[in-house]
Amino acid sequence: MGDLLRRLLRQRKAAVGGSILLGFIVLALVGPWLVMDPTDLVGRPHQPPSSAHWFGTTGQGQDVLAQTVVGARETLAIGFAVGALVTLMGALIGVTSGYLGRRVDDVLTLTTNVFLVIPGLPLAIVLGAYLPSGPFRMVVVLSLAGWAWNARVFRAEAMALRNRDFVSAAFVAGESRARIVVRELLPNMASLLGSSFIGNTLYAVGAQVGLEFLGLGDVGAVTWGTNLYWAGNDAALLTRSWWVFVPTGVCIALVGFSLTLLSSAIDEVTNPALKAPPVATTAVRSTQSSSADAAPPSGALLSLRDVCIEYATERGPSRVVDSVSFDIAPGEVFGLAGESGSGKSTLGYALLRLLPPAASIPQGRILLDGTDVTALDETALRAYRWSQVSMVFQSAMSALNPVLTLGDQFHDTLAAHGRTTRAAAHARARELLTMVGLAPQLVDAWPHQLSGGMRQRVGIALALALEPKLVVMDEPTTALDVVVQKELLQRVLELKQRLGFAVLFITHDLPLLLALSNRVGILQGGKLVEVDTAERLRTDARHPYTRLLLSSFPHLSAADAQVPADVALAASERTTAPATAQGGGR
Amino acid sequence: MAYVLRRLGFYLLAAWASLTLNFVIPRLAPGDPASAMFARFEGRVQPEAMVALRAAFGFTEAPWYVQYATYLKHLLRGDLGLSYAYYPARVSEVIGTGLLWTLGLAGCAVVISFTVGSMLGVLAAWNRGGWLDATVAPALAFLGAFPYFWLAMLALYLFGFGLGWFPLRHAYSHDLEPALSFTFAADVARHAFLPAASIVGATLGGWMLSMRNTMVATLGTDTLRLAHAKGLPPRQVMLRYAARNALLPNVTGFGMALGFVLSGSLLTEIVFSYPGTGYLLILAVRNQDYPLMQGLFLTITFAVLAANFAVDLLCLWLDPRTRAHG
Amino acid sequence: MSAPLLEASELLRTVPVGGFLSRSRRTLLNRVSFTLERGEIVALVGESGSGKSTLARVLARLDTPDAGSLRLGGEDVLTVERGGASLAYRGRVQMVFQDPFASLNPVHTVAHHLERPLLRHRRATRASLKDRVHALLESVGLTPAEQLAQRYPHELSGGQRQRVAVARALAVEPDVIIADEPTSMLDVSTRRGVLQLLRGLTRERGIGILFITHDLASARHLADRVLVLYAGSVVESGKTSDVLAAPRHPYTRLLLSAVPDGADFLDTPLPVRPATGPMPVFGCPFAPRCPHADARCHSTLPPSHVQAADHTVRCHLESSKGASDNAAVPQ
Repeated sequence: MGDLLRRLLRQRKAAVGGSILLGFIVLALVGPWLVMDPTDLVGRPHQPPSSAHWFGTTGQGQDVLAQTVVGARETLAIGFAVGALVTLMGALIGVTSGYLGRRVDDVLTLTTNVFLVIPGLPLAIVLGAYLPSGPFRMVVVLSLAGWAWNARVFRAEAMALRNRDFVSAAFVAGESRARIVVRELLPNMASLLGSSFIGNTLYAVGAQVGLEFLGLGDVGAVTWGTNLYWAGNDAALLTRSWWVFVPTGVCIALVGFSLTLLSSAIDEVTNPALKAPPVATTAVRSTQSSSADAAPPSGALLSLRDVCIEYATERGPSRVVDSVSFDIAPGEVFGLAGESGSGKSTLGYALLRLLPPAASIPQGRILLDGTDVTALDETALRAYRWSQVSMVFQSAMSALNPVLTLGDQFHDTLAAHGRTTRAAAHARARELLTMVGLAPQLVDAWPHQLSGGMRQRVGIALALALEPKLVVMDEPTTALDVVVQKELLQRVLELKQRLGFAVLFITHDLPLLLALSNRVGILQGGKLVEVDTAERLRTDARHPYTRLLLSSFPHLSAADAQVPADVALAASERTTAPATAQGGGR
Repeated sequence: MAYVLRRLGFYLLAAWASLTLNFVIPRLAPGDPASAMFARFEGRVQPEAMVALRAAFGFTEAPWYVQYATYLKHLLRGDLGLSYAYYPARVSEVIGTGLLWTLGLAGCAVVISFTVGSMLGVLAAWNRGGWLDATVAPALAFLGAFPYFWLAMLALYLFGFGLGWFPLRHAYSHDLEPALSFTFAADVARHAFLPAASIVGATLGGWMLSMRNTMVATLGTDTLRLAHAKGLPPRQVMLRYAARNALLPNVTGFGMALGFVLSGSLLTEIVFSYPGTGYLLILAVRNQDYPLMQGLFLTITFAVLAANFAVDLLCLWLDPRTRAHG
Repeated sequence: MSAPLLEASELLRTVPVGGFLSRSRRTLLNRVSFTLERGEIVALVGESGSGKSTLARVLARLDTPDAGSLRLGGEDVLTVERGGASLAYRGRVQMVFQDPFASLNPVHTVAHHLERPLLRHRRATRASLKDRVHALLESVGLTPAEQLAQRYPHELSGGQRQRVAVARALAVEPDVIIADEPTSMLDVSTRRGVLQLLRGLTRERGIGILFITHDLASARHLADRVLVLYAGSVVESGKTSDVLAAPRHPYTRLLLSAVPDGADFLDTPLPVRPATGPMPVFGCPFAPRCPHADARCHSTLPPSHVQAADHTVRCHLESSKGASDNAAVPQ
């Protein structure tokens, strides 16, 4: 919570929104003592702004400035009260519903959804018409008409949190239900409570003004809504007295805008994806290359020379890949092993220039068949992607477009790289699906109709659609069971034999990589610490980190005694902790 | 199909809930609003007619379930009771034409606003940090902070009273007879322009922002990475891969927000003396015409429920996953 | 013979599927039985969907089985504690979750995560609290304890978090720890350390550990006995060395052949055939994928055959080989 506040204070939106709102709160608190009585008839009606009446007079001859200032008090008071009440009701009903689940949830969710589709204003009007007048009525009416949306949001949040393991862990620790709700769930909802309160206050001010404008408020009170009601009643438009309704409207909008700013600031702080990331400044690429930049060995399909990749962060550039050089021969399987944060996926994306805007390649060359990939322009890059190098992602689950059939996704791909008809593309898709061991009828299926293993096969079929020279596979089997994994990899090797493409296989699973690849590179903290053939690495690894990785995987057959390296392991874990901890933020 | 039936069942339930609320609220209200209401008839009607009148409004001495049954029976016949303000006209007649005007005005405004807003949101997210994202989005957000009806007042003041470009009130010129002619249609359009524009202005920013935010989230997914990796043309990636997926949650949100937007547009009608349900609503409130108020509540609610059902069908068409669940 | 530390018999768990009018149910756990002794590690191996996490939740009393019994030190806890687990049960059976990023509450410090169980189960007084927390952290290899106790979960690495989770389980001084894939979300170089920690606990404190995993290699490395779970049923169980060196059930053999171990693992074919139909209602769940399945496998559930001491296999092939067939067959 404190952390949240601190981050909010650094936000420009929050600062602007907060200051405006604070200004109005101060105005509402002390303002009424500084101006004249807003109900006094102080002058002639519909007088334009003058030195005596800065904002002019109303149709009754009251001071507009006084009315605007005094109106702030009740409007904001009711706004905040309703905001708090609606948040409380929504949170209570939503959390109860989401946390208790089952029958209670069914009933409460149904009730919530019904209230959600019943339009608020007409309901508020009917409610308001039958209740005795006064500020209390406004609070009750607005709360009853507006709680449903919150209940829905809080229910979703409670459901998500309830399924988090820390709640189960608290149960296992023997904590009581009440304590789990209060101490484990609610603190995690602090930011949601905050943004809901702001959103609800926004709703409350708007709805209150609307109801009062209709005449459903206490027309004798001085609020922003009644000001506008009287402006309408006294024909402010007809008499061309803009000053009667403009100040109040601007005040309402300013309060509303400040609340919008605050809520959007909270959204950005809690969901950093919404904030525009720092964009890498087109770094000066060092034209002068190091001595390692000799001509790539003839015959290499892909050559990386001194490739560095940096991410722009608020604290300056952070280097995630550092001077990496290696070659892949045509038809070779090259394995890239590393733990999280080693830069292995970043490197894979770099081969297709798929890095996010925050990343840049300040140095180094990526040569495919002699062409420097880092120097391609937009059009050339689009033509190069997929036809030369394609990619299989870790989760075909989320990589395939859920709203297009498989056939259409193949069609898009083929059509982007040459003329084709829909029929021809679908025929080719059927052929490719058969090739990876799937039924050709699946061309008309949607991704959600396939299992994880099937989707990954589709991913491979898609990657081979244009017969590229190199396929980058980024942990394609990590989410799969071992049996499915083996089936898939055997299929890949068989296709490679037949079609002759090279593979860059990226994973943390070193034993798998050693069985699969011709050569393997080990990445640690962005540096390639060892590259060698799979056989040599298995028996004769040189770098201590490679040996550490190798010893981390227990074997099935070999009699691996309790490795005495355990002490060293614990030590290495401690030293690598800060690096991995960065990625672990919420 | 099962999905459609389930949704239909839900809306029927919601309709029943609103009917019942409509029945319960007056009877649970503190004091005796019924008496207060009939007190206003005193002197206008013969005392003996009072009993008949009470019966006509459904306030009898019978137990609540008999009253409830009578109430439901009347509703099934489309009988919403008698209006006080237009006594002795039937509420259903009074609402009839008004509803058409409201649906026409609010419907057009909402659809235009959602379409344009979503497109702006797509563009803003696609060119993140560009001029659209950096200037238009906050400007529209500021515009959205004004109450709908206040924007309507300002628009009417500037373009109606000030510049005289648009008519000041009503849905069509009083010297024209409603007819299916081009002149009449053009006249209606001229009258509807300012109210519609003020509703669009007030809501555009909201749609734009929510589309922008889901679009930004979509842009970070593997689906988009794969689309780029495949070398697809940028326009196709933006529309077919990003916008198409980002649209789904927003269409659902659109259904949810309908009631809210409709409420706002009712107030806009009042400013323009537009002869829709909003205008009737203020008449009902000012005259404490309870039957009319309740009739309007039911009519508007049913309209919103129907619109929500239509949005559900739209979702069904847009999202293959919903189709599968059904 | 005294009662086993933890004994599950015939645990059945089904969930409704389809809409709320449909009455069909899917079986997550199909009459699972096993025992866990003091100081022993039993590995429960299975693929996703095999029901291993359901079993973990049932044993941790986060879920209630439809039928079957659960005995802790001989006491039938499901019958005695109908309303949910007692504090005493929680004090003896603890759980370590798969994802240390999710199992620690982001708003609480490490110290808070350890203090709560200590206080709740009266394993420490207010005065001794701080020392106990530090001792716990040191016992799982987290030093300097004073510093780490004040950290929040997001300030720790995955391996450190999982050690905190183990320390939290240890705080109540339990007899049983259920470890649900405790290393699968960790970086490879930290996995072994966490496994060593668990191994040490059984040796030093005599804690019985049910180690749930999809990885046969780490099961071999850690466990004394192993249970192989397929579609909610235990298909083979026995001493780890017996089961893994001489697997009897076709599914166990399939799993073993798919473990990426050795240079030629991709050269050997998988002993499986593409699923030929839905899972039979009465027969062996593996029958549709089993290369040896015959008509019998599709129609009747195979009985449990006791191979050698403690090595049981649930497969019809065993009886056709004339192996001893003395196991009690339910139904």
